[in-house]
Amino acid sequence: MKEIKLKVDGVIMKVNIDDNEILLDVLRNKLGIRSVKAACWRGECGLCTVLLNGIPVKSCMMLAIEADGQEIITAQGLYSDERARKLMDSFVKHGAMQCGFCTPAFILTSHYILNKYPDADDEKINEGLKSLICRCGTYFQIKEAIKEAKKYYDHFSKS
Amino acid sequence: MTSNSILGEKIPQVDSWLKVTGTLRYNFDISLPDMLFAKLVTSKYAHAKIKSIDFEDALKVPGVVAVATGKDFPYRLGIYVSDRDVLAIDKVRWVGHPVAAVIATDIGAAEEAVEKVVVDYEPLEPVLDIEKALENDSPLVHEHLGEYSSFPGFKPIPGTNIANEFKLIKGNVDEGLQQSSLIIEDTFKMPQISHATMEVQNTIGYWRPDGTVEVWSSVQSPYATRFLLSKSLGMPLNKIVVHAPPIGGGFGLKAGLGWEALVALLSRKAGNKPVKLTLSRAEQMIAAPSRDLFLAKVKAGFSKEGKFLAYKAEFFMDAGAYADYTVNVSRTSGYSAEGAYEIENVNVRSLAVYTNKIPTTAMRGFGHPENHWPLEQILDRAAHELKMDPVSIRRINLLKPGKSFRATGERVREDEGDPEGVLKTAAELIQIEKVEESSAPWLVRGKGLSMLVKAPSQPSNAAASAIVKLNEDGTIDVITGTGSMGQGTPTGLAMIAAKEFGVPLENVKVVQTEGVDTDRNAYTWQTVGSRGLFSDGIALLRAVDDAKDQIRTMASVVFKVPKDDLEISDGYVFSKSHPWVKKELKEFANGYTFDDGTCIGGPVIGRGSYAPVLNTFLDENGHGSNTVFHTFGATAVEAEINLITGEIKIIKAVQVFDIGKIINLMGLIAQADGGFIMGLGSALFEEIKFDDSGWVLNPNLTHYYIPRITDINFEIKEKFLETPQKDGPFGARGIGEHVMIGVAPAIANAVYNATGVKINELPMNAENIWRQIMSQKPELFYKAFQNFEGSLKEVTAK
Amino acid sequence: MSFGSAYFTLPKFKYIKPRSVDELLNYLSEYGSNAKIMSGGVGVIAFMKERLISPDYIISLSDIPELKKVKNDGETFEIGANVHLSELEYELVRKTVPTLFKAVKNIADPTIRNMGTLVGDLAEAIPWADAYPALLSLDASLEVMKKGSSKKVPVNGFVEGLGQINLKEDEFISKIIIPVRKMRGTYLKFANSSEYGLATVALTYLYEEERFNLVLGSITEKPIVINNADVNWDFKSDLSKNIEKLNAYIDSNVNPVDDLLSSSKFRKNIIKYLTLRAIKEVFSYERN
Repeated sequence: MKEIKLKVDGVIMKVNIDDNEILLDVLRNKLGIRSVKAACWRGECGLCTVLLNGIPVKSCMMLAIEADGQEIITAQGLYSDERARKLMDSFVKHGAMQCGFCTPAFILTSHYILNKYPDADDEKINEGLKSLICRCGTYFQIKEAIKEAKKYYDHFSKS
Repeated sequence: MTSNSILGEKIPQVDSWLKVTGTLRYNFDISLPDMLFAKLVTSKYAHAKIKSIDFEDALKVPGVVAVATGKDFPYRLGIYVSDRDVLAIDKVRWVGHPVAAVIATDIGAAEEAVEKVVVDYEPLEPVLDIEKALENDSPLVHEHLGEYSSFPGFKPIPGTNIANEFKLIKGNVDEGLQQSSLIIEDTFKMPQISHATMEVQNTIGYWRPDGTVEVWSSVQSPYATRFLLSKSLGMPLNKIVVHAPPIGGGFGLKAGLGWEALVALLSRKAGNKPVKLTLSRAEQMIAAPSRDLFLAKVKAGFSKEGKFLAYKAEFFMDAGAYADYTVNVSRTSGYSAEGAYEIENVNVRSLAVYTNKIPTTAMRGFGHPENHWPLEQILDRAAHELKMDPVSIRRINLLKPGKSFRATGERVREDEGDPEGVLKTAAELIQIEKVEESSAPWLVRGKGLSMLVKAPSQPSNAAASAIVKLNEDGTIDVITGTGSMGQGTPTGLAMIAAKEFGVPLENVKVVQTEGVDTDRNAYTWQTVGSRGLFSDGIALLRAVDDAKDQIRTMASVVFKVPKDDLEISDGYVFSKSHPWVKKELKEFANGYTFDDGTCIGGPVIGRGSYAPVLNTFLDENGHGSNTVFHTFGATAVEAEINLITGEIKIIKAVQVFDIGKIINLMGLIAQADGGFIMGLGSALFEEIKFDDSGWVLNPNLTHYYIPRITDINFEIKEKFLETPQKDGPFGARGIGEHVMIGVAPAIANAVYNATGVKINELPMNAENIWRQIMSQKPELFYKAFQNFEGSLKEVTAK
Repeated sequence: MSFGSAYFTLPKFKYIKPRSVDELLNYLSEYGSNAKIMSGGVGVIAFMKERLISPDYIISLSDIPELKKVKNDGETFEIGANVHLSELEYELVRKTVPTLFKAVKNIADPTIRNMGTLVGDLAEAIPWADAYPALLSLDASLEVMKKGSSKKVPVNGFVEGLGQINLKEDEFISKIIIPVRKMRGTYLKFANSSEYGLATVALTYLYEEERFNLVLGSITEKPIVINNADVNWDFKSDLSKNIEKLNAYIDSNVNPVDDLLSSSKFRKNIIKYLTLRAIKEVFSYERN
């Protein structure tokens, strides 16, 4: 067992792990971060997406030990980000969810895209979100929600 | 917002903020302190005798508590036919059939131990093709079929692979065909597909030391789960509790009994500790049920004016290794075979057939994506042959509410909807007469339309109930049995209660938004079949009336006015004739207390019950009256076909439904759009691929392709007509499945109208379309390729 | 071949994180036969989850700064083994090595590209991977290092078959080297009903040298390289004549396989279509 330290949603956490443990499992099972979901465990569906040092990665395809000393943000953590909260509000107002299982991953990835490319056109947004699957088919509403949330990302300095 | 206007508005789901923050708790997220983990050992053979199972080495893996095999659990499971064992006992019947289960303190140990379980098989000849399964010398999937118990109305045929046979006869179809000027005969096919819910099936079972069974599971219908557990384990209902948190997708996969019996028994075997089983995606696609493979042989006859005179259909549903809901899917598909049309002579034979492949179960549409696939294409082909347009040929054959009778003999009620209006609206929205220019000569555009109609497929006594409680501060709790899988029913019920009491939506809590608990909720038959808002809604309205009656009883004494003079709205109860005599509802919540301390009445608990009215069984000719409502709809598309590659690109989509009454417009749009996307998946991409030993070749989301946001680059229009359903809540009907049914036939019709190429098989992926073009109209391909080569010259000329 | 991972956990291994290339090479020489190198990790983790590989040691490259470097000195474009694919998605790459840029854009999805590396994609050695065909068309080479030596090998021949690479157990690829020349290039992928492409085309046209490399991928176990000489391409003559020669060459020499993704016949049709599209893109001249 090794001890690793990582910052998750703003809180520094210490946890003992084995070399072969996957980041997704450590987040969910050892640190209790259940907003990170999983549906394929092979890097296809994207529901395990987290922001690692601000960049989206699929946590089911990463070793937990590689997250030592790194910073992770999940959808729960984004709640305290003012712009992300506006994005979430836009998702809510546009009904951009049904069963909700994929929603945290879409929030995280959309937040990243709008943060990095506040002027992103449809093509760029779609391209960025193709890493995710929504089986209920909320894509139309997601696109509308992101369009409306864009304006909150324009005037803030990049984080 | 005043609550009177709430119906028809766009209201976000009441649990939206939990979803965007990822804090809504699914069963996937639930674990108990002393919980153990289970992992399945599954069969590598499609059909084999189990000679022995050796798990000595597995038990030695540190952390392993026990290994269970079929012999430990001699119970029979099954929704309609008890053809399913808990774990394979004498033989395995499909690749993926669970043969043993390892229980361990952590999932790593369980996975290590699974590899050490050695099963000795004696392979048997598998039957993998549905037509072969019907031949006399076919291997039998269930040799003891005659010994299985079955639900009334379902009769497996012992000595065969037939799990159920349904017949529907109206008039004389041979005569009808003889009188027809045009006959269209063809064979249609749809592959097995996976529900691919994002939340895999996962279950916690706890066989408590006091002999009661507690289950937490990702299921749609906890009351059905409880009932089936009770039946298969032989335990009384009050010794079983099922907790059903909101689910990450259901679509029929989680409708009945999944892994609950197995996991409960594993808990007992593991020394009465809670045990959790979570399927991996591959296991979800192989060991757990899929949708049936569908084969249809149909013969349709039309008069030269386009009147649909005769429809003879043989439906074969490949049920896989156990038939689960599929016996009913095939039956439903049979009795609804005529779709939205009145056909003079109908003869349908619909079979559910066992094969040594993945077992099958209900999926959104329940036999209607299947039966609409041939039907709606035949109409377009007939239109073409008779030189009519696809809209006219449908119009003259549509069922006429108030006048027509279905082939089952059931009357089409006047308030069933406006199919003609639906057809007209869809045709107008897609501008079906206007043929569009494509952007290049190797591309061609076409438009296609499909009507659709469906009723909930449920027993004639599928009941629902509701409880309404008034809290001391005037807020309201609503309790019914329909859970949350993203379809928005709890939100719709909240809106109904808010409107009825005249309070803001935030004042209403629908308790099952965060889970249905069989001990603490109110019974509803199942969360399936597009019945939720209708059935629970009616029960809720009755519960609201009952609660209001209790309030009026107390208020009548307090105000000293007659009960019928009392009105309840805007959070107040007041006298109609003397409106200044009023009090807030909250004053009556737990009885009314006078100024001197005396009190009358007690807590307001409104109760409402619902059961279908005048529904009957179907007789041996398929006749009867077995539905509570029908929702008519139409899906239309404009598609662009690449004649070189076979790729189909959707340009425009239209979804029209006669919903009766719009309760939550946002929810309806979500269903229409989401259902289209799901339909798009099965129309263009999805297929479970088998090799010839029954092995599944694509049990993952790489090679089983589900539409992503990059596939959705077209516009969609939704329109909801409101022809009120007299007995529906505010006139509303259900829609959850209808949104998917017409997508594949509409696209196939678009391809046919653009190219003349007939599409009989799904999926309409690039290769399959290309093959059909090459086989039916190769000249289209060659011309297109020539044009494309020609286009190079323009761009690259020096 | 069945990609059906039924496992949640990975087999046990020891994780090693060297701080320098020298340290890495030492470990490789000691553990090489029982070790796998993890650059992005996506491929290695995928194979471990399916129990296709079960190494005793996983050696991570994530702490070696020099392997994270991208260098472009105008003569060669060098990509270190631990450079994430998303780091290659910028304008200079698009201008100088367009074939690579477009190939990278076609690999998996943007989130995976934040994790995976070009060397990792190459080393997976599966017929539907995108790095190998693109690098073949660019005449790329690999720097292969082992304890005490370093050599430069052409990328051609690196992939020997499904899951088989021409690399010894104590060797690792430290960087990919692409010669920079004036070029136009494109990479096209045809995928339908799968995340994998059933046919891919990489075309790099060195217009000053009047040379091109056309690489057909995903249709056979190893990509097929066709250069202008193979088809007697005449840069002075009419394009249609050249296309005829190319089509004839493909007809006689290209035999795609039947597999889970597609049939041979359909693949042949698509590969011809993609080839023409690639030529259209790359050979279009701007009219003055």
